[in-house]
Amino acid sequence: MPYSLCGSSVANLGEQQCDKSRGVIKKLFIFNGSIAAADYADPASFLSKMVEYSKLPKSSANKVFVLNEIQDIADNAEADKEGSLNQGFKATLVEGKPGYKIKTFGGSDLTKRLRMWNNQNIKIIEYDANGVFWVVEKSSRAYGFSAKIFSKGNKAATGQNVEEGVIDTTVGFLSTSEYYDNAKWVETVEGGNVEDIVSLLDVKMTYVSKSTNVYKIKLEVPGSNLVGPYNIFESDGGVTVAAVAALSASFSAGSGTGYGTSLPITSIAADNTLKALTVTFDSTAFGLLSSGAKFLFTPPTPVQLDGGNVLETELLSVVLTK
Amino acid sequence: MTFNRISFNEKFWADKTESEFVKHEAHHGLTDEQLKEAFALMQPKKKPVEKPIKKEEAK
Repeated sequence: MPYSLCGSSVANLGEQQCDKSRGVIKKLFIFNGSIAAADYADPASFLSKMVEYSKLPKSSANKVFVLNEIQDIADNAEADKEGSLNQGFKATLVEGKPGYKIKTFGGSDLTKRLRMWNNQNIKIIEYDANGVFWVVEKSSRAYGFSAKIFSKGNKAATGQNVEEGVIDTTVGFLSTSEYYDNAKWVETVEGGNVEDIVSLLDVKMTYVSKSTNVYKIKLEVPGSNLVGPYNIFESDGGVTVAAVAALSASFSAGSGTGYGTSLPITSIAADNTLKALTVTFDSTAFGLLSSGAKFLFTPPTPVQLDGGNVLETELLSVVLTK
Repeated sequence: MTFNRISFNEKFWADKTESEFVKHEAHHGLTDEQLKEAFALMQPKKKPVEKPIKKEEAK
């Protein structure tokens, strides 16, 4: 056929050697932000940004949330819608949306945390067994693929299969254009370690008691244990709590509108008897607060905690009352 | 600055007096001597004043 318009609408079908294609997916990262082009100018920069973003507070727009390593994956793409004519012609009319079902390991607490993401509109970056990240690029920025996930787990094991501690998650992608036509990859290079991208654990600061301007605050991981939350003091005899106390300069407190009026913290110590922090606020500023006034006690950021050897932890702010 | 497992806010105490510090932080169970020692450790080290070199000495 000598005359064709194809040249202006299609590409040649040659192929580069070693072209990438998605391998077995090993890790998923929930990432609702974006990465600027300068930060994926080379693979090391991209990995470095993923590591940095994984240590952001969960309220940050660029926070990377890490799912546990995938142990099992099964295709769950929607079937293509096909049509046919009665003399035998058959064609794909509507392409099915991509998706898969994965199994990860996790206890009842993690299952509950994962289920908080059920049916939320999120974006996902994939990492496959070949060490390749898969993203979508839009307007010179890298994003995750638009998706919804649904997790369930903590079912009774039957003893017939590996079931105990297995969380089943269905991942459904919203756009074939994003997932197939505009997917781009970034490989990890030698020396790059994807395990540096970490998930953080929420640790609540909980009011215990007070004596005028001196407050006792416990550091606890909320969970499914009916007896109560887990006091992180128990994990190492107070070493971590002391490390948190040592970061007193990175704590802050504020009262008034938007908690914008500074309430200086003069010292923080570990109380080995109460298994808590002893937080002392400036008595002069504290004295100016009216009885019953609320003030926000804000901890160091995960990065600051990391720097103080309190790893993979996000401390959550607490509102205290005079 | 951490002293006996107590992390004092060095920035806050930089412009306060020793007696204010000792009174304010007495509840930690440290002795007055220990508190004074902690306070001294938080004071910024002053740079030694350099004497101007006289021309005769320079020769």
